[in-house]
Formats: sequence, C-alpha cells, structure tokens
Amino acid sequence: MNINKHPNLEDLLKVKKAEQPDDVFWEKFDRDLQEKTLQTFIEQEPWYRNLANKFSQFALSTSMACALIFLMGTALYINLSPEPDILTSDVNSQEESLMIFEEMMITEEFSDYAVVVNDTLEKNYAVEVISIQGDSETYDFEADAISVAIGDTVDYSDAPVYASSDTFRISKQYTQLASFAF
Amino acid sequence: MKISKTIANEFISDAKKGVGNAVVSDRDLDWAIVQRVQNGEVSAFNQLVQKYRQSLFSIIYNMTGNREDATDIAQEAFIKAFQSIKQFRGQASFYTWIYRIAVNSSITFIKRAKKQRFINYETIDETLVSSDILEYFTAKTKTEKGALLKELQEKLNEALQKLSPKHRIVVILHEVEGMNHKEIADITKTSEGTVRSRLHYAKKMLQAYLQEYIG
Repeated sequence: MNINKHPNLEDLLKVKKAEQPDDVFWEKFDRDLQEKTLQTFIEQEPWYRNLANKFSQFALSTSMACALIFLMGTALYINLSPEPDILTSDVNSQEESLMIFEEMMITEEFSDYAVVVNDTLEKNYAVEVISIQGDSETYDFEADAISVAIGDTVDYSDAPVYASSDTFRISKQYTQLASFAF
Repeated sequence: MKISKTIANEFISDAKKGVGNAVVSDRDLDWAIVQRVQNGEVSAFNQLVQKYRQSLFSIIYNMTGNREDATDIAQEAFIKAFQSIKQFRGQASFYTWIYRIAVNSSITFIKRAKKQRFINYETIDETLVSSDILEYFTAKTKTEKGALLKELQEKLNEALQKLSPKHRIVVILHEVEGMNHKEIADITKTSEGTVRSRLHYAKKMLQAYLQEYIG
C-alpha cells in the first residue's frame, strides 16, 4: 500500500487481525477448557447407566406401589371377613345373667348333666358345671371319712347333716353322714 | 467411510512427509482426527482445539466485542463439538462444523444479551498491523503509534457492533478471517448470493461509519 494513498475499508479491517491474545491467555484458555471438558465427562453418564438408573427407579416405585396395594388389600380382606366377634354377647346385663343362672341351678337337667347348655348363651358361651352328685358319694375318705351310725340317725342326732361341699343340692338331705375333709 | 486408527495415523504421517502420492487436505486430516476421537482416543481432540482455537476465538471476539464473553463462548463451542462428535459423520468439513457451532453460539449470545456488555478489547499485536497503514495515519494525525492503534481499534469495533449479527458475521468471516463466499455460505447455511448481498450491505455501512479514516 502506498502511504500517500488513502486506506480503504479492507485495509482498515486488517487491523482486526492484529487483535490477538498473548500466550498467557492461551495457557489459561487450554487449562479452563480441559477442566470444563472433564466436568462434562463426570456429569455425562453412559447410556446404559442412565437406562439402569431409570429402570431401577421404575422398579422401585412399582414395587412400592404393589406393596402398598397388597397391604391395603389385606387390610380390607381382614375387615370384611365374616368372623364373629367373640367379645360381644347376647346377654344384655349382669342381672339377666344371674337370673338365668339361678334358673339353671334348680332344673333337674342341670343337676343330672355335667354340662348345661343354655339357649341364651348358646352362641358365645359354654357354661360348664361340674356335678357333685355322682362321684362324691363314692369318695374313699379312708381315715378322713368316718361313717357313723348308718341307718340309726335317731340314736345320735336329730339334725340333718349335709355334705359341706354340696351347696347346690338343696332337695336331698344326708342324714347319716359326717364328713371331715382336711 | 470408517478408517481405523492405525491407517489414519499412517495416512497423516505420509501426508506430512509428502510420501507417495498422498495429497491430504485439511478436511481429510481433521476427519482422521475426528475418527480417532470417535474411537475413544479422547486426547486427539486437543489437536483440533490447538488448530482452530485462535480463529474461532477471533470470530467470536469480533462478534461480541468482549474478551471474557468470547473466551466462554469459544470454550463452550469446543465442548459442544466434543460432546456431539459421535454424531459427526464427515459429510461437511470439521472446520465448517465447529465454526457453525461458534457462529450460532455467538448470535444466540448476542440476541440474549439485551443490554450490551462493556467493551473489553484485546491487545493489538503491532507487528501484525500493516506498516503502511500505521505510517499513513501517524503522518496524517501526528499521533503516537500506540495511541493511534488504540483509537483505530475502538472505531473499528464500534462500527462492527453497529451492524446486525448476520451482517457482522459475514464481514468478519470474509474480511478478517479471509474466507470465500462458498465457505461463509456453508457456515451460515445460506446461499452464496445471500452472502454477497449481506457483505455488500455491511461494507457500505462500515464505510459510512468509518468515513473519516477512509479516503
């Protein structure tokens, strides 16, 4: 270019080419670029790991949902099953229970059978009463039971004697027996 | 076309030595390096960085007018290229591809940055400036060389920043980087006619802005 000639636009724009960073800049540029590239390495997981992560997340959420549904279903099944409540009773009050029990005691059926079944208690209860009639008469008292004056009550006493444990037997009296139980 | 690492290296080595009839273009050399990277030789990518970092930075710097922004965008462009290198099939040359990434990143940045950031100029290497220009202006303005260059730099950058991004990029690629219309059309994904038209308009605008320096 002749220095006496005016520069044109192209000549001026060539100045832009001279705008260049120094070596220190490029050293830093390379270092930063390397760090950023390494960061992308760390952040970027392989596709199969991403797939595995997605699958495991899906499996976890699905299994949790299944477990929840199973628990809810079990709870519903237990609540809806027709098992009777053993704590409820048809007997409404304590007085009613006592009345029924007294009626039971005076019946012949009650005294003759070991187990008495009452209709009102049939659903929930089985009342077992141990009879004292049968076997108690054949007790072998040995030294503890002494028979005295069998058949001759008038000679010794005029008062009737009852078996001390036989509280339920009201109608039949023992007149000849004195029983001592130790 | 899939070239193994060994064949590619031999090819490059022969080409550098000028052995046989191997006539290798920059495009072939770049493609061989890209394939090495694609095959897992990650460190080979650094060769591409070293080759293109300066011109890439220059384009982005002249587009943004800011040194720090240009640094970040240039680094991001290389990282984008590295991350997408598996998708590069060699249908275009690597330099067209990486320049396109850089140009698009720059234009996106300029559009997003609503408020113009402060201008942070690069230092001028005086040895690279035509001595004729310097002598002309120092003789005319009686100004010291360093101050004159500083003033000229500011005026040029201001004028470039007044252009729209699509006009600015054409001027930078053609006048500063010395690319032809075809190359610019490939990078900007436009026709050569569009490039010529934009270049003509942009230069006209710049001449108007820089009237006092142009005869």
